Amino acid sequence: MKFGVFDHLDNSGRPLHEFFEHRLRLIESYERLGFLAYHTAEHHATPLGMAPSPSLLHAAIAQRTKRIRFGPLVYTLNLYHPLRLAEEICMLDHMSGGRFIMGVGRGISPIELKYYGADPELGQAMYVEAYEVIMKALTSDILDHAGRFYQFKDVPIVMRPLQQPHPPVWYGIGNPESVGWYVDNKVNVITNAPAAIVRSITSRFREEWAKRGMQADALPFMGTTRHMVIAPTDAEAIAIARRAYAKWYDSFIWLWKKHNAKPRFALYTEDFDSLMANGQAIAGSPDTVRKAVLRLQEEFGGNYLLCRFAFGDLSFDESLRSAELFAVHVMPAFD
Amino acid sequence: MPGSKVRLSEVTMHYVDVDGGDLPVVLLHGWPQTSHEWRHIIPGLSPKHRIIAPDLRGLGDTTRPLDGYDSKSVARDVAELITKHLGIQRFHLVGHDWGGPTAFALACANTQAVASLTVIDVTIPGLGPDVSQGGRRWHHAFHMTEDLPEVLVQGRERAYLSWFYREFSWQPNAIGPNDIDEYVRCYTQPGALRSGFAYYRNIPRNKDDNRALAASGFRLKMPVLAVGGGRAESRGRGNEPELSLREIADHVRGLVVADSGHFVPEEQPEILTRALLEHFASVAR
Repeated sequence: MKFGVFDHLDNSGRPLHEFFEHRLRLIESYERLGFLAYHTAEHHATPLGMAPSPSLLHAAIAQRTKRIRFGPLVYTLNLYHPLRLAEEICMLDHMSGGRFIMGVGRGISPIELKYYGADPELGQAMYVEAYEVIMKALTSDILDHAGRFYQFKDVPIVMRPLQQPHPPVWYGIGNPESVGWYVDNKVNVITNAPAAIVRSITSRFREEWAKRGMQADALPFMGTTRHMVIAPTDAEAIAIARRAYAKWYDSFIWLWKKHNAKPRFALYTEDFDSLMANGQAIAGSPDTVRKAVLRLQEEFGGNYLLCRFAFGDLSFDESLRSAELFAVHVMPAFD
Repeated sequence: MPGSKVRLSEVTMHYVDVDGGDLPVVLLHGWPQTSHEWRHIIPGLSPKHRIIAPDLRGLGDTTRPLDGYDSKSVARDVAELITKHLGIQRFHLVGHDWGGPTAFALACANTQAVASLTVIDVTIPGLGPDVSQGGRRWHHAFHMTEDLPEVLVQGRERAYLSWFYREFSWQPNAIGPNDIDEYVRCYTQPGALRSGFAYYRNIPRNKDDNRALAASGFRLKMPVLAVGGGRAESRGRGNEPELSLREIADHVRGLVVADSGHFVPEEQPEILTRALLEHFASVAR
């Protein structure tokens, strides 16, 4: 199993200029500690996402790091002009020396989409078309496209990504039925669900992969994310996690509450203890966490774990300590 | 000892404040220590003097910003505490280990306020004998490495720090189990290792700052006492502090404390207290 970091960049309560500097420092440390990649969420008009323009953050990451891969997980495609986004992806891939990974999705929150004037009902169709345009723009010399939402005629494409034919594609997946497309396109997938649901997806993924006669060791990443707090003792870690998760959950639910609505995919419990009981969060001493991650690996069947070391009001040093203890006491069990 | 906390512009600083009469004395600790290292010194200086002993930026019970661990920045916190918050206009200044370069930077920036300067078992980076002793103080290079010391020491703070308390002391048990408890309590807080190592990561910057200051022709005019531990086996620096300070100060008196390693305030508190009182007494009010 490989390890990366997932980050909502939710409001920590710190002044925003400090918040960004703290995050960039953490990312520098994630790189030195040996994490494979750093992935970010995209949210708008909510304290859940204080980095609503992921490309800006990633341009900074490209300059502050040398080895770690990074990218949005995901770009909400329906909120972009697809040609501009393809251009940004191309720039970021070059600015990072070919370390960019492009997560794509249609946007999980209808409220956020509506603020941008995007129609959630058209979400899927529009997303599929935007993805098609982006892929054409990344891989052709001339962009021609006549679609329902986008039309391009004879647009010269003057740059190609550094990674050929294009940076690795990542997608957030919730449903085992849709696995075929991801397998066909060798897309890396992650899901936030409890282990049993993730298992149904990873099993299906492996089956479809084998059916097409592809090598098991060439499997794309199949990952899941977990809130993660590590401290010298279980009690200390859990106390910190409870405190920080409450703040994170407030940010998560904030926009839904404002609209008297419930999240369409209510994958997160209100309190940390229930989340941990569901297996969607891990907090404890290094030993406890190592055992929990080994168990998770057995249960979910994937090959990639995205840790959420920074969430809620975790301080820079609390997040860094979790990452350090993870690198020293957990990672080596998976080499 | 009575501790207080104050919100300064960049840190919330914890400091010990013991009442007394004469010119106040400001005591700056080093690594891997806190204001606790002055516990044997404070009773000997008060009540003659009021004593202020802060925990420096990022250490002890003071908060731990990401940056600002070069001596000039650390000194600015202390100056803000002493002059702005406590309203003290003139004081004696004493620094041990990293408290030394900090005290030096503070004295250079506040020449009128600092009545006397004492630097204990450390040299001023960039001036005179090398602060890292050409690599013999191996931990300097180790602490300057990004992240690695944090991940190796994390969870083993007691073993790592105790090595220094033991190996850098000539007097056995000068730093006893209860004292180690207190230091370890502080250095196991999230970020405390990072902040401590940040002092070492700023050595190149401190060298540049101090060399530029010396090259500008600046001289320290106040009386300076430069103290070194006499036992090189226990990493006492002998007369190196004196040689270093002579590079930039006009009135330097050297003192090598026999039978002491690096931790002079805890190893030979009586000798140090006497030397400090004499030094303070030599200063015109």
